[in-house]
Amino acid sequence: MELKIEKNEKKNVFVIKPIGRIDPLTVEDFDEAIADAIKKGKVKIIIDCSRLEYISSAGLGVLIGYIEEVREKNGDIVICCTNPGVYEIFDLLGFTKVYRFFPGLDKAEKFLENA
Amino acid sequence: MPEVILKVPSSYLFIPAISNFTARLLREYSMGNREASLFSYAVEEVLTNIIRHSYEGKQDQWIEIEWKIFPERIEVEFRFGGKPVEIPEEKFDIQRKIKERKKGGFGLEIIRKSSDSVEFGRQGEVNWWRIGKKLKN
Repeated sequence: MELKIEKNEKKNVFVIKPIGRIDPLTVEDFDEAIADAIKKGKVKIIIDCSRLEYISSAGLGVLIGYIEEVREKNGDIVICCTNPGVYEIFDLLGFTKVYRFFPGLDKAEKFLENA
Repeated sequence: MPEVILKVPSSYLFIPAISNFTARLLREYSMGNREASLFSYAVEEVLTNIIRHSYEGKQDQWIEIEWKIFPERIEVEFRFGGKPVEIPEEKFDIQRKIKERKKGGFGLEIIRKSSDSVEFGRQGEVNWWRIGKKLKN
């Protein structure tokens, strides 16, 4: 029941990679990672869910809380998701209609670099 | 009718194990992986909601969970104390949530969309919340 968060920056794109579960016990770490990035002026953000096992409603709420803020600053949050179970949750609630989803990190990076 | 009853403290620590058990049980009864996972997410969200709202975050209370297997459906019933369940009537609208930067309400939508039936009530001092899913034969 742990969440490890890896952060990486390439050109002007900031990648946040949550590894494990985002649930009520770990959601604050995820929230802080995004909030810190935005505070430092990083507004082109990829959430790399390739090693995310589960995201609860609390985690989804965090994503919703920041999307307008980064878009107002000419940035975006995009999601890279290869886990079908995790994608299912995003899709169930309509996230796939309001966020850009990519199957791989390369495509997501290229999209944001050119955005 | 096979049934399993479990009583656990109202702690977030137990939620993944209960969710995993639910998914495995459903797979045993021929539910596909996708449907079993989605229903187990609903179980996670019900438990989270109970701890957060009915018990106001207190993790030393109790929750009793009963899994009932019928020929055509599974039901999971949660019994617990604390405040009664309150589910807002308003329709889920992700665009409005983005605009208003509202972080809440996603759990209830996961429960609604992952279950075929959602019922709740209160008998005496005990609240109950029941979710159901059809089994494919």
